[in-house]
Amino acid sequence: MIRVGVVDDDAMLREGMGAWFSAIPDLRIVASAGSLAELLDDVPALDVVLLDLNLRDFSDPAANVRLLVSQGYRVLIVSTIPDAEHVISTIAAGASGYVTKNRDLVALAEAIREVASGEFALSPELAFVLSRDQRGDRPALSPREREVLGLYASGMTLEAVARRVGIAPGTARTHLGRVKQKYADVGRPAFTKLDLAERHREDRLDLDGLPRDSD
Amino acid sequence: MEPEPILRTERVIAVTLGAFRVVQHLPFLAVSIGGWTAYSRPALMWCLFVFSLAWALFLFTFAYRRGGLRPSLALADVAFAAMITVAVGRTCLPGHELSWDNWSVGPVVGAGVVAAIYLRPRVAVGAVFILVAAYAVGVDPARDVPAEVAQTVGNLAGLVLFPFAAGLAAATLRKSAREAEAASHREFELRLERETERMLVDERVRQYRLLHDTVLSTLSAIARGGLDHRTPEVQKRCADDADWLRGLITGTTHDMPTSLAAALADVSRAHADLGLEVRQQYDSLPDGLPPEVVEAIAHAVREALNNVVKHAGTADAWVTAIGDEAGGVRVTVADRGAGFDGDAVRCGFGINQSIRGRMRAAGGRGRIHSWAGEGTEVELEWPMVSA
Repeated sequence: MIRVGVVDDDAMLREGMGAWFSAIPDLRIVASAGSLAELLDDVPALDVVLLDLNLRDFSDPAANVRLLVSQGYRVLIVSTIPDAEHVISTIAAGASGYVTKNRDLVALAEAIREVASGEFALSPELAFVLSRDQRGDRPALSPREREVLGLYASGMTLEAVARRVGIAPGTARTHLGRVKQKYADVGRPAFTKLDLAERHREDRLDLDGLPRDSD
Repeated sequence: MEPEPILRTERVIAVTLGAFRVVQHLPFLAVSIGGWTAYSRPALMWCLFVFSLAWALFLFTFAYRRGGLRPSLALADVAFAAMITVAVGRTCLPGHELSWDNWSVGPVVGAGVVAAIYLRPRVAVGAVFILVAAYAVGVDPARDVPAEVAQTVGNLAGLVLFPFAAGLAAATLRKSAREAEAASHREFELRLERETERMLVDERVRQYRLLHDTVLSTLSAIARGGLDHRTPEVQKRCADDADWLRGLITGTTHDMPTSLAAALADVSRAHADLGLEVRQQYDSLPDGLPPEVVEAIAHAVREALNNVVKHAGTADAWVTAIGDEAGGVRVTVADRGAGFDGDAVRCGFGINQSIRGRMRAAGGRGRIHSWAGEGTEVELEWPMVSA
């Protein structure tokens, strides 16, 4: 049983989620709040916190994530609008994934399970935001990892991505796994100088982000 | 997924031809029960027979799966049949060339039919001529017997008439399949158009309601005289209402939107009402794309989404558009649905005309990547990058 906490200022959405989740046996919403302060009031034991990206109290999304992560919670960001800048800032602050609210329940449940088991939930919408990530301090990805991430971000199946790149599906999965690991490590201690040097080299090699295929 | 009319027709043709060809091989089995007295080299005859049957099974299974035959395979069939009929005719002992013992007549007629159905008319005529000549060369030793000359001519007439009739029948079938496909395409377009119209009406209703909530109530409040229009709050509200009205005016023109994001959003929204959830992802889109390019891309995306609705069997699609520093743009439409074999003969005119043709005409390129069970990705780029 995965214990889920929901932080969203939209009371109707919170109720809807409760009804939704009752159909899934291994997930249960045990805490539901309109703000972070309200959730943290009684320090609930949770496996995953579903956090609305832009709360109506105008709190800083990244600060919200940092607060939750510092208290030992795993955070999955949900939002209506894919606000790239804030999504990236929450990932940099240690959030374990991001899904848009229009995602179907199956995908949302899958993302919650991934985050609960300590993994990084890489939805296509998050893959898109990360593949367009131009910050200087982003995790360093190899050219092949960027290529797989970019194609996966366009909504293709992993098999189709592998076929386009010309590698085995298992290898594509491994590349994506490495991307996830690198972003999962973000919440942990700061990068070394070596990482930064690597990233500058990569910036020069691959200026225009999504690679064009060459067939 | 229900196959399109054209694919369905091609499969019916392949199955019919395959069954026909297998049946044509049966006389030999009957003959072989009677012993091996008719042939100079029985072992060679068996080899030819097994090869001929195995080839037929391969050929028509292939034709079924791909929804047709490439000219090269049809020509190979003609070549094999020609070689087999020469070999079989020459292996028959004198007096047996024109009897049931010469089982190659069936496959030769079959190859003629394949040529008539899968090759261009002129090539097909040449192929039938070659088959006739090969058959005549095979049974050549029988030419001295006058009674048998008549039968030879009869067989030769069959070699010409069967393919001719089959060619006509296939052409008729294909024509009606094309018409059925065009009709279903038109119907789909019509449905999309109706949905778009309905949405425009909905949009207007929504705007009237908003009009009521904003501009109208502001003006009424000022008109009633209870409101000082010089206070900052009222001025702010008037400015907001004016902005909104301005947006309304620009938003309701019926010109083709010039901004790519707006055009793609329109296309995606139209499909949402057909039950497709379109996830849109845009980044660094260039300003000032030529209107015909925007139109071509929007058209191709619409066609790609139509195909998702009709064939992919999934409710999710992704539209991704990314600009590059040189002012170009790359758009993909991807789904995780049924997909299709990338090499398959796809005769549906949506993909070819609306995606590849329109993009090429606008100076870009459209490509389709798909594999059965792995979804489909339509990739559009402008301008065309020389690979």
